[in-house]
Parts: sequence; structure tokens; C-alpha cells
Amino acid sequence: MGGDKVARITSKSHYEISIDPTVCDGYGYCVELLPANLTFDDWGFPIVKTRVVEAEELEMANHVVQLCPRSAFKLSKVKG
Amino acid sequence: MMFSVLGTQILWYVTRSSGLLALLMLSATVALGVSSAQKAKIREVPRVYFADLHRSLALFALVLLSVHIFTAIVDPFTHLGWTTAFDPFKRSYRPLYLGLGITAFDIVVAIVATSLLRKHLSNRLWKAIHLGSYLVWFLAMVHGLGTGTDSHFRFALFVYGLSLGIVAVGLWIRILSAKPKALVLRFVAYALIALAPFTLVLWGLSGPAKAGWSKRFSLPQTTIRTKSTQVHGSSNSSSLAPPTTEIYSDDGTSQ
Repeated sequence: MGGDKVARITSKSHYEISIDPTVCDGYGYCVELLPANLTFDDWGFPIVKTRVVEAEELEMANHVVQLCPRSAFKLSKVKG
Repeated sequence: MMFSVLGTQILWYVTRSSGLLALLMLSATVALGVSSAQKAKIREVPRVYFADLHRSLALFALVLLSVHIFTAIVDPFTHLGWTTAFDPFKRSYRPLYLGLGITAFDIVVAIVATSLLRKHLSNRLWKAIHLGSYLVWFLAMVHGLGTGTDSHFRFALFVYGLSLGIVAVGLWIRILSAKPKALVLRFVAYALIALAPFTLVLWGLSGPAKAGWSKRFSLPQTTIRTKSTQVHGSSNSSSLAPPTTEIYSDDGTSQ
């Protein structure tokens, strides 16, 4: 799903967000805060629709990582 | 002069008012927590703001509770030591209902601590302790009504009623949005919701709301009377003189 965007960014490193579905309880705060990257599936659980986090969303993405009651998110730096 | 009149009494007023306010804030916190705790559900209203509000209100309630406890301990009339906050019962001042309040506070401390350390704890442990909020709220209600200094005032009863209403609305919202699978749970919750306020109101009206309730739980009247009469003649001698029953009348009226 997110692969197409990864290919476009070639100059610098960027950040990608991922969710651990085994930990997630579906509070859903994350989707409300980060609609550019996340969405709800049919059962109301958040899923990642775009892995690459844009620079202007980075602060909010960090906030989401901190806020998640189950600590289900990982924001990782990807080179290239 | 002004201060000496207000000096000791103001602690008592602050204790009572901060207690009532803390109860209101606690009720709002519980109601918000209960009504917005449903998960895996697509909803129109963003829940994240309710989560923030839940946390802010909890902090506000905690501050008020700290004031409530601080002034109660500092107040010379109650004769409470600093260990009181963590050691329920075995108090001379209205032991049963004060003990319930102390128990509630201790659970609050556990809830706050586990919430701050939530990322390092298992979710089940956090949730098990967080469920104690229901108990805290109930204990706080009984503690407030039962200690009873203001329980016969219409205003105080209004605050208790409002607290009851706030929590009932929160529970109601939660139940209405429960999944159809949780029918048994829903039924039990309905029964509890109907029962808990009912018993609280019944008990409140039969006991604490009546005049003279708090007298039963005050210090033995005889010892105070004799002390106050002894002190009466030399009341200007020291600031450590035990306050007389006239200053802290158990009816909440101060004279």
C-alpha cells in the first residue's frame, strides 16, 4: 500500500509509521489525529493507509505514538 | 482580628467546599471515562478530545482532592496526622466515613500511578486498577454524605444529586452504544444503575440528610464540653487551645 510513496522520495531519509495490530485495542484516537496516514477498517480498527509520514505531519505522528494507550505505533527512520 | 476569626475556620470551609468540588470533578471524570471508553467503533465525534478532557478533569479533581486533604489535616480541630492520608480507619474524627474517604484516596493514588506508568505495565493490570474508579466514586459519595457536615443543606444535596446525575448519564451513553452481543452485560449494568442511585438516595435521605446525623459521629460530646468549659476562662492564653464545640458546630453552622 505504502510502497508507491516510498519510491518517490529518494533524496533524504524519511519517516514511516507502522502499527502492531496484535496490540491495538481500537481506541481510534490515532485516526482522528493523523487522517493523512491512518484510516479505520470495516470493524473500526485503525490501519495504515500511507506509511510515509510527510514532514509537516511528523510532529503529529510523534504525538500519536506517545498518545496511543496501547503503545501500538512505531515511527521509524528510513534511509534513501 | 479578622484573621484570627477566619484563621482556623477558613480551613474548615475550604475542606468542605474543595471536597464537594472534587466530588463534582471526579464525577465528570468518571462519566467522561465511562462514556468514551468504547473501542473499535467508528464514530462521528472525535474521541481524542474527550480523552484529553478526561485527563485534564482528572488532574483538576486531583488538585482539589489534595487541597481537601491538606486543609483537613492542617485543621487543628480534626486532630489528623500526616499519615492519615494513607491509613484508613483508627481515626478519632468520624472514623468510619473518614476511613472510606481515605480508602478512596488510596485507590486514586494507585489509579494515577498506574496511568502514569501505563506504558510499562500490562494492559490488564492497568485496566483492573482503573476499574477501581467506580469504587472511588461510590466511596467518595458515601464519604461525603456520611461525614455529613453539610449533608442536610439543600445546596450540598444538590451537588450530590448532580454528581449522581453526571455519572448516570455517562453510564447511560455507554450502555446505549454497547454492542448487541453484550446484552447480558447490558442488563446487569441496567440493574446496577437503577440500584446504586436508588440505594444512595434512600440511604442519604434516611440518614445523612436529616439534622443531627453528624453529631453521632463526632468526638465524644462530654470530653469536649468539659475541655471547652475549662478553657473558656483563659481563651486568650495560647493559640494551641483546643477549639470549642461552638467554633466547629457539627451542624455546619459556625458560631
